[in-house]
Amino acid sequence: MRFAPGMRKVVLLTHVTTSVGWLGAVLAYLALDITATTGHDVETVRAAYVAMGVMTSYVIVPLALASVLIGVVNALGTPWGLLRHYWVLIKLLLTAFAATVLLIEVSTVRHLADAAVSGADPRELPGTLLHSVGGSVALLLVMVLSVYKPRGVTRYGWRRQQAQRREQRPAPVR
Amino acid sequence: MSTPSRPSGDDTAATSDREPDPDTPPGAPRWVKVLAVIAGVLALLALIVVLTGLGGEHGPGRHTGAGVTVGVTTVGTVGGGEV
Repeated sequence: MRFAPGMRKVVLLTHVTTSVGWLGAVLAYLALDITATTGHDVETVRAAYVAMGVMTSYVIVPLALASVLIGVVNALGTPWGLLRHYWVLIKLLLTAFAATVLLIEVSTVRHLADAAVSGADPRELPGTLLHSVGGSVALLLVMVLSVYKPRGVTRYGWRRQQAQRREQRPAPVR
Repeated sequence: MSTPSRPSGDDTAATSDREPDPDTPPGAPRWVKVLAVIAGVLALLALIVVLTGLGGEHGPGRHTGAGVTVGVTTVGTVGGGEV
């Protein structure tokens, strides 16, 4: 499957927008998480937990799902493929892992937001700092791979290249 | 992000002094092996943290679950044990 040039631009634009948006939203979440974990003012900490819940449900999760889905479509529609180059394969694994951990963590963030507004002291809640730092690092690594595109083809990619070369090779003259 | 400026690029020769054999598939580049080692170490650390309980109880119930359970138990007792 190969996209027409116009379609390819649209898919690429959507892929970049959702992926960079996901990273930006996670970094904003990280700032809220640090505020919630280290803050001293009760109302500020409570507001941070509420904002974390809203951001996770309405910004981060939709962007993450869209990024993974459109990333797969984008890879399949270009000569890079999904499994031919190590940098694409590792990007896929990292984003799928990050999205899976995110989906598991959503209920925890919602519970923290509910607990923060329930009247108890929100400063005693532990936050989700380990997950937000880990997610930020994983998504930054994905960005680095996307820009630098380090060389290296997988065995599958190598076999596809060999097959293409055989097809392009002119038939021997008898 | 995936603009294919050099989609057919193969770098095995860049990470090895040997001349690549055209009939054998290339091995993984060094940067992939380094990432794999780092991922393995992180996975091992995560496993140790989970198994030893150093990271505390995990999951959504770790903060609110206990409080909710206590509340339900209390309400059930007050209501004559019907709950």
